Amino acid sequence: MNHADKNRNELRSLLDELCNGTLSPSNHAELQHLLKSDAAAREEYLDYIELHIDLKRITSPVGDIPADSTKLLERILERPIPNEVQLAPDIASPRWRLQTILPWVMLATVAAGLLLMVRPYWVDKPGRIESADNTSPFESNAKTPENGIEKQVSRVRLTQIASAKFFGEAIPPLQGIVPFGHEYALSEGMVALQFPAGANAIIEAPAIFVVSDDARLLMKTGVCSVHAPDGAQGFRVDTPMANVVDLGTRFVLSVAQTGETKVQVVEGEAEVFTNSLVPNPNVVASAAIRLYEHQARVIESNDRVTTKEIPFKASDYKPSLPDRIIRFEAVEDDRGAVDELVAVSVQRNAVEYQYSVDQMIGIDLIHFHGVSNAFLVTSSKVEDPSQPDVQGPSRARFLDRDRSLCSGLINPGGQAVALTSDPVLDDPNLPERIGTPGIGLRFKTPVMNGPGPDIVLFELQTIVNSERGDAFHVSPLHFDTGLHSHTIRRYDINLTSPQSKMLAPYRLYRAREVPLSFLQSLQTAHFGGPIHGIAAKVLAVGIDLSDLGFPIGAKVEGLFLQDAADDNDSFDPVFIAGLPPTP
Amino acid sequence: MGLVLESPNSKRFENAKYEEFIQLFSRTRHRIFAYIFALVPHQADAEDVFQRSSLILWNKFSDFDRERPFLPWACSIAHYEVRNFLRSARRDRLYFDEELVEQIAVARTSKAVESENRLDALRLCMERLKTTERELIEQAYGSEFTIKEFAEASGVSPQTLYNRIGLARSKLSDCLKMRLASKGWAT
Repeated sequence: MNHADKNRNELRSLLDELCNGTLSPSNHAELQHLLKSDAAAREEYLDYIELHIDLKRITSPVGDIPADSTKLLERILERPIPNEVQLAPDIASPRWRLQTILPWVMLATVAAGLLLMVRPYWVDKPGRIESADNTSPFESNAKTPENGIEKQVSRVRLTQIASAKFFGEAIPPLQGIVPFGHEYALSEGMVALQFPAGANAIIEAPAIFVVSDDARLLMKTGVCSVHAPDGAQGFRVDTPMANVVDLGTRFVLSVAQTGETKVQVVEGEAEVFTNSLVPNPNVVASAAIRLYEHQARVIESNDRVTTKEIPFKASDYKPSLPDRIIRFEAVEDDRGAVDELVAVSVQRNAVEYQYSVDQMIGIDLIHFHGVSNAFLVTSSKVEDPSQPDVQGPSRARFLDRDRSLCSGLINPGGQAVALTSDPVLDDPNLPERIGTPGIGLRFKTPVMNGPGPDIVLFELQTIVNSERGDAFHVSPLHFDTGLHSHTIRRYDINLTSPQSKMLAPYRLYRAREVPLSFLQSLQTAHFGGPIHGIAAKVLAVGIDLSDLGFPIGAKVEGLFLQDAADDNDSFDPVFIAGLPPTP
Repeated sequence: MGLVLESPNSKRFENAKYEEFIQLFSRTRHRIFAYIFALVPHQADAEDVFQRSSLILWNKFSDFDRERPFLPWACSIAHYEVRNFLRSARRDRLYFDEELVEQIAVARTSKAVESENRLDALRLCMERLKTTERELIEQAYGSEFTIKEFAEASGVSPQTLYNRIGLARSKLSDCLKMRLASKGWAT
């Protein structure tokens, strides 16, 4: 770090403290000294303050001007100010802070609404696309005039994602347009791109790619499986060493960081142009290497670009993204925050199914052993009795009887090493017995192990906790031969997924009697105390019973779940259900 | 006692003046507030000065030269109000000294341009943040809860949240400068 960088970092650190309201007297003096002695620092200060003010404007629905100024002007002018210039109250300002503390999630819903407000950049584009013409993508098609300059407009869409993460930027919305020329660095997971003529490209991380135009993809590194059906012939993938032109086929490209490119044709045929054959990347030369079904070549460069045949490996081609929870629908409030689950879309054996909650297989909670910070969470519409509730309905209902994503029994116990033998379950007849930390559940009817996910689990996750979701172990209730525990460390819909949704307002209760060793004590434990609520999203993951060693067709009566105890955060299930068998 | 308005020559004249003031004021009020906040970087104090300045702007609006832009005139009045405020300000708060306030005022005046471009660019930069960073910024700026309350409820230390917010803010600052520079707009 050079001197200028160091000074800049020091200045920004002080400016952050100023914006945060945490500037100490000594740092205030230091900031004043810096600003007085350096004009560039004053410029930086002004820019930072401007940013600070503008952030309030765009994140608060009411801006940064106090309400009293409206009243003040009204009083001066003795008449109301027209609506279009009303100065609304500033809820972000401590002076105009609402005296009634709203649940955090009210704010989450505001944030969700604001997310919708900042979406038009992506959302607006499809509207522009529809007016684009349909000329050949290799020509200057789909132009739109902007300030007199003809500009190409992409019609390529991001259609699917699976545990994807882009380096340095947010995941674009599903079905959003992928702009031309933007370099994406896919650091985790997989994505699928749909090109307008029908070509479909599945890209696996780690990968760096650029959509060049409506029929051309540049793969700088990574693996890309292409299916170009009839009508999409001519679709082209460029790499640092080759251009591959599809002639109606399925093929897979693997591009190493050195640029070395492997091309394998699964079916149909493709033409491969090496860089030495293609001096102009925009013009496809007449000479080419033609590859047919189950042929494979590597294009590499030492002193010059060479190609050689390699063994074909069918498994490199990915016809689809992994089986997973694709999305879910839930009842949304007017700000888009969700509560009751309606349906889940699941990919099983590469086929998408949608299940309504009524079609799913419910559970009965048969065991709960919490940890010291065990909580009950309920929708704000439901109030857990603050007094011990022996006669009333069991609190287990918040996990096993309702379809709300805002309610559950969170922070169950766990252990770092997954179970290798049967868990010890609660037994009302043996109240002294210490049960295994975790949650035991029994399906209302056995769940049949089919292809892909067989069980869906939703988790509540606050926005400042792990993006991937909280890891947990899944174990059989009885360790028959061939069965074992399975640890889930990554959710299909995680905190950064565009399919994750903000939760509607909820209530959070801390158990006073800890640990919650038995289901019965869960019911009688006093959950009084302050109600908290913080902005949270709901994540989802599918559990494949095959991962526990169950054979296809096996009927599973129940499962045992434990936090993986890999960090300070325990996992927080709010909805668990089995899926019916596939047709 | 209520505030006394300048005597209008006629109701029609008064209405026209009112409409003109409201239009100019509503277009520039955020920039006026930003100007004041730069000189008095304390939310409650800046709001106080903003309110006083709003009142004076209306009372002096008859003096405003229509041939000149409104914002620099408004900022000059706000600057005067800042000076008045600092003279009588509480001594238990941290303020910049007079010399620095004047230096900032000079630098600020040269930058006091209206720029919706800034907001558009900032919105684009927000989109480029990681989802969690963007949501944290929205929580920090768009909610009524303090970072300490947020930290307490989420089980994360306040300093961790401050660090994350600072990192995201720094990214936004860099992104904003780059975007505005690429468009040839001043920051």
